[in-house]
Amino acid sequence: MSVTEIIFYAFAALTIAGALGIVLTKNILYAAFSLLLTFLGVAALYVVAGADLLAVVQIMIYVGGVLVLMIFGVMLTSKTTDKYLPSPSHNRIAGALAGLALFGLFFTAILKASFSTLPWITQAEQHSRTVSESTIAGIGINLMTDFVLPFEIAGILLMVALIGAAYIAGRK
Amino acid sequence: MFSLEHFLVVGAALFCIGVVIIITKRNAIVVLMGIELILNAANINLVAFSRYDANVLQGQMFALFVIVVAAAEAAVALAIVLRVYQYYQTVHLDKLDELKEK
Amino acid sequence: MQEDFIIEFVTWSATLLAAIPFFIFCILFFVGTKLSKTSGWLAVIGASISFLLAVIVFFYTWPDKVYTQSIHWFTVGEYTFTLKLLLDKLSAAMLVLVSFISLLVQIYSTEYMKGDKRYSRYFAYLGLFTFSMFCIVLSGNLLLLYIGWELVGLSSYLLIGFWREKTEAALASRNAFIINRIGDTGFLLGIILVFAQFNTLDLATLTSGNLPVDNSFWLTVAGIGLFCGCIAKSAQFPLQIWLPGAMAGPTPVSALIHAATMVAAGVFLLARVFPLLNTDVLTVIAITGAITAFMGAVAALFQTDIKRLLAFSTISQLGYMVMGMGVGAYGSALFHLFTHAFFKACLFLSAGAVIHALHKVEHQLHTHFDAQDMRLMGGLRKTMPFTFICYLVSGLSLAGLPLFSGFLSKDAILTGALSWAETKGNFLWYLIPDLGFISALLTAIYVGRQLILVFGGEFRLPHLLPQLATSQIAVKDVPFAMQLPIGILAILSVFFFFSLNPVDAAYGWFLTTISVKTAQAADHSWHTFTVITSGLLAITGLALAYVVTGNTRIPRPAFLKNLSLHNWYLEDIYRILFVRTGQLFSKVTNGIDKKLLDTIIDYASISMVVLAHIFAWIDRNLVDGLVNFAAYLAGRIGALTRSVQGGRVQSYFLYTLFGLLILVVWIIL
Repeated sequence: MSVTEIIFYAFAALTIAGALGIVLTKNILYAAFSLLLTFLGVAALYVVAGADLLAVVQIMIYVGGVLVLMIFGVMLTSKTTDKYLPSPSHNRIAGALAGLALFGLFFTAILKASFSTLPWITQAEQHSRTVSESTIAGIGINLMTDFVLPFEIAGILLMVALIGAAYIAGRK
Repeated sequence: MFSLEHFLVVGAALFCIGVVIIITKRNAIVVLMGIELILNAANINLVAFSRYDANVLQGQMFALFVIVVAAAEAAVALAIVLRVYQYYQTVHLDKLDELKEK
Repeated sequence: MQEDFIIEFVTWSATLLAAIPFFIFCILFFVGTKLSKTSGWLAVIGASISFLLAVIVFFYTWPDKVYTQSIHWFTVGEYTFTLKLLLDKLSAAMLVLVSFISLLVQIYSTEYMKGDKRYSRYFAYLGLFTFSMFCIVLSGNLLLLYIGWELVGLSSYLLIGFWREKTEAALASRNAFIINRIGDTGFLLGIILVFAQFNTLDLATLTSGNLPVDNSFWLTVAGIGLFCGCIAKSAQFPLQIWLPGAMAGPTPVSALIHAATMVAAGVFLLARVFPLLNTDVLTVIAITGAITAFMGAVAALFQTDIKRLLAFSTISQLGYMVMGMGVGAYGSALFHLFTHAFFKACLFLSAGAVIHALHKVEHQLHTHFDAQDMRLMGGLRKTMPFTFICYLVSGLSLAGLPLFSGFLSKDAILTGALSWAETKGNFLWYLIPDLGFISALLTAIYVGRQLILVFGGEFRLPHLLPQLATSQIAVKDVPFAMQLPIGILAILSVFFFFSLNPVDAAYGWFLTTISVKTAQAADHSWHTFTVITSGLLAITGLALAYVVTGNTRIPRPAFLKNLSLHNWYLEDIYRILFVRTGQLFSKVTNGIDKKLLDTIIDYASISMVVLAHIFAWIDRNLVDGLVNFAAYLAGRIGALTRSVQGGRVQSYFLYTLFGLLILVVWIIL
């Protein structure tokens, strides 16, 4: 087992554990912190996969933005003044069954499909065209050239979402 | 180096956990967390495939835009949840059943 | 190098001159209300620039240069369509005509429309019209031409209905639009058929003369389809009924659109596609034109509305042009298009001046009368001398008196028609030129009648309105901004602008250049005959008008009068033929519904009731037990299924997921 592999397995375990934590915990705030673990784990997986910029973006947006937003949401929508904010659940057995079945399906699909032997992937591996250095420059160039229109549209989308969210939440 | 499938399996697991959260959790905010998990699962797949596409990096670009959309979605969804809370005094999804015949 | 520069320069000028009215339209349409008064002058300045550019383009193009410029537009399969600009002598001359009359009309309108509450909107629409007209004239392919064609239809609709508060105007605009639509459908079919025949819509290719134009069935249909566009737009029989109604628009609009340019677009179209029309189509065109000329002239005879009379006269003159095209007198028809544009625009603008002056009176007296009714006018030669002189000159030109431009062009068409009839052999074909000659006589009569009614005799209005007789208010001639265009147009109705020879234009600068070699050359053996006959007819007609008008002792055949006043009862015929038939059909189907179907249903329901009584008995005694059980069962099942629809969104999601899983597993296994 190489170092990278160890790192991968460690962070994959962290990610899954965090996610499972959200399912299993009965306290919403614990769920939020489990989500933090998951986001960090995913960011680490991005690094392992060579997507350094995305890892940074993941931490900044998800941990710094979305998660904080969630915690605010939790606080604004809870009546109790206790420390304990319950996260009740239902449909437990059916949900677990559905999740397991879905996972089984995906697992068999991934095994059977053998994506690693796709021609373009094997070619990339043979010619060592896999990502091996920082992708920030590449993404930057892409954003300013081929993806400039989606980039601008994303900006507009964010602005619209901002105005919309402020309007919906603030309307009396 | 480990193979692509490792990433895909992690992604699949994350996705399934997200689905389970959406189905079982009654609090709307926790359901939103599940949705974020699902989006992250998709992103892991995109990034994993993008590793073999060093020149164009389409997967990473796509993942970037997914994150943007997810952020917008989270903002709007939370705003809606706040409205729901103002109106019904609860965010438990199974209590929102006005359309049901009483 | 030099040559390249000229080509670039000319094509860019042409594009620019077409683009200017569109810019004016955009500006006035969106911010016009803020400009108010200035908008008129803005439009005039734009039109002047267009006109100057048109003159420059004309001098570079005339007599025999052809410029084309094309941009790739789109490709369907293997066929490529281009946005093509085609500039030859025909389009160059039309450019000058359109931009010139448009300019004059806009100068005139600054005064005529003064104080209107949609002043800037009016000029915006004029700009749109001018742009679309340039689009028709400049387009080098039929598809583009069709777009322009529809655009002029739209702007005509907007301008006819400009005073939309008046029911009459709103109805007339709708009427015009719908009738034009009928023709446009034919036109589009024609374009499609042309494409099916030759696989191209490029006008330069189509009219190069290298295509096999024979009397094959589809080519005839295509030609008639193209002619349909002309029938509607140029108000030819049987679709001419929209043009008199179009007089509900402002008078300058009538001058520009419904006399000089848009209605002539049909003739222009015929000229553009002339090489594509085979002899069968040309015969149809000639007959239609002759009939229209005659019907229009008859309808104009007894009109009392000053503008309606001119409208029928326009129909008649357009009939002449179309007849000219049909008999192969290509150049003469276009020549008539030009001369007619000048003198008819002048007539309309003068009529507008009269109406304007009378409106002023109406306004000052705070009374109401029909300012367009010629029976109220008379004697205006004293109070409006300038308008009278202009009206006289252009009216005589319309009547076809020698020394005026109208004589030259009408004469050329009639000569062409006569020699065409000669080549046809059978003497029945002489009916076509004969109809033309009769129409010429009628034209002179109605022109004379109008001149006398409006300007001759005594002013009749004071007899009807006593307060006018006593008050100090008098009819005044119109301001300079209206006199200028009228004056210029009147001068242009005199012969020497087109040919130095006052009786024969065949060697004048216009006809020598515009005529095509392939078209039948006018046979000069007929020429002397035509000159004398039409001259005599014009004089006779004017004399007849002088004798008859105002002389009540001469009986007028009531039949003819009614026929003329009601425009041959065409509208009533259409009403009966199409509208009534439609209503009748709906009435009949309604009757069938009511009588037949309802009776059947009635009887069916009665028998149902009887049956129901029988069943009720069985029901009560036998079935109810079963039903109660079923209801109980259904209730149980309902309760069971209701628990699924428990108002819990997440459960729905769960069911969906299970369904999806089952589906996927099924497909995979």
